[in-house]
Amino acid sequence: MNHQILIVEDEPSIVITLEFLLKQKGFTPQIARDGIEAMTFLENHQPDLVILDVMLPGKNGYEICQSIRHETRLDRTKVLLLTAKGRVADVEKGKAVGADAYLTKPFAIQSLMDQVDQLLAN
Amino acid sequence: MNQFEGAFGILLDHIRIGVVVCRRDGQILATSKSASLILEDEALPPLESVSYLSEILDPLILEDAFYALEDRLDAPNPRFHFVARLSSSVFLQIDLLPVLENGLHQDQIIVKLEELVEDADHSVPPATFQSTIEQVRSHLSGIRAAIETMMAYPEMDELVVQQFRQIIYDQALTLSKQVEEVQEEWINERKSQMTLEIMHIRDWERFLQDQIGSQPDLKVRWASVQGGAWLEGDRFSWLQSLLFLLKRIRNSIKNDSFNLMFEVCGEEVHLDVLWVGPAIRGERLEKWEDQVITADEMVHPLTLGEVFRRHQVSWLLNPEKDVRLRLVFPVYAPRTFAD
Repeated sequence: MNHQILIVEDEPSIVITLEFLLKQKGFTPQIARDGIEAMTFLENHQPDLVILDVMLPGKNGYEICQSIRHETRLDRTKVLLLTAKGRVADVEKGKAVGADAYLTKPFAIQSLMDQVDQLLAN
Repeated sequence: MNQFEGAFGILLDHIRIGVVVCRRDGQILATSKSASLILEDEALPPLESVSYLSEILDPLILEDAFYALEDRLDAPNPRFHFVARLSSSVFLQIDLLPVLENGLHQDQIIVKLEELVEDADHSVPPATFQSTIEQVRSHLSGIRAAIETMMAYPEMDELVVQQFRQIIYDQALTLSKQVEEVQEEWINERKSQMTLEIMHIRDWERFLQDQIGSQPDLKVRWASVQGGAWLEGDRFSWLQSLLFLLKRIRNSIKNDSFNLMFEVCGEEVHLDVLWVGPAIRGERLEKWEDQVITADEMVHPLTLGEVFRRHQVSWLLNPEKDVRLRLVFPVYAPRTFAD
């Protein structure tokens, strides 16, 4: 598979699991452990999917998502927000900044992989 | 003068604080609209229909409060504030301010009333609560994803299995620490909210009577308090401490019936606890003092001993015939009650 996926997550346990699952599906995901690292990666790459944690050091997930949506070069990039913020207002905020999908922690890995498949199929 | 009175009337109609202006004998001269709302209670007549404040508030407490105010007239900006029980669930913060002219008391007192909101001071602030939920969700997410992945790929390499086990262990450990931190934070939060209130002993008695009376597993009879005095304390701590103590004693003596009695003795107030059955040893009470108070399905942030020290309370076992336990409280402002 040629899809490029970027995981932006500062929690090592989530990173290890996501990386393992995506590799099992045949992807080679890239990892950014904070907002600044993610922005640096996005300046030089056009990933098909960004799996983006909301609470990050440096720059938060909402800000990164907004930057992606303001960059025409990244028009085809899908954003899946992962967050521990589960209130309706938080989901609305995720949609408002242009996320394509939103998963609340703790999520089922099957839901996550279904979302990944769906976003990449689109 | 008439113009001034007119303006004063308009002011009382529009201010949002509860104000009653009365004479030294409690005769009401003027009230604000907010005062009527604050003093509205099913068991009481409407403020507009009464002539004396003592028809709404306990006359003996009111008299003691006016005495306390008089004792302070020589102080700069004299005032006296206390908490009074309006009904079993409503408590008021009351401020008494004398009307002075050229430094002399004019026989008029301004009574400022404010309802105390109970629920707010027992809750964890939403911001802290929200942040805790988010952190717990995050750690649970690590654990859940790791377990589900191990279940989904049972044939995974032993090294990878080890890695996932480590994730589960680390996350569970972090969660445990977090639970401890949350508890510590809650305790500190509660401690900062437990303010000491000055309340008349008659209201202390009624408050404890209301609350302890609703306990299905205790049978408590109260003898009416003799004398008047002010006590300084926090109601939440006192109720929890007394329930904790009575339930510990009940379990120890196998008897759930108690007689309780407040008594004013000079600069001390005694709360005597009487029961039929074996005495309690001092070592046992000392042991209970070291325990965190758990009563009425609530966990209190302090130990029984910490509550005692905070309120400067001492105890005596079997000081007199029939009295099994006496709690000794210092009176707040000993000279300010009516004879």
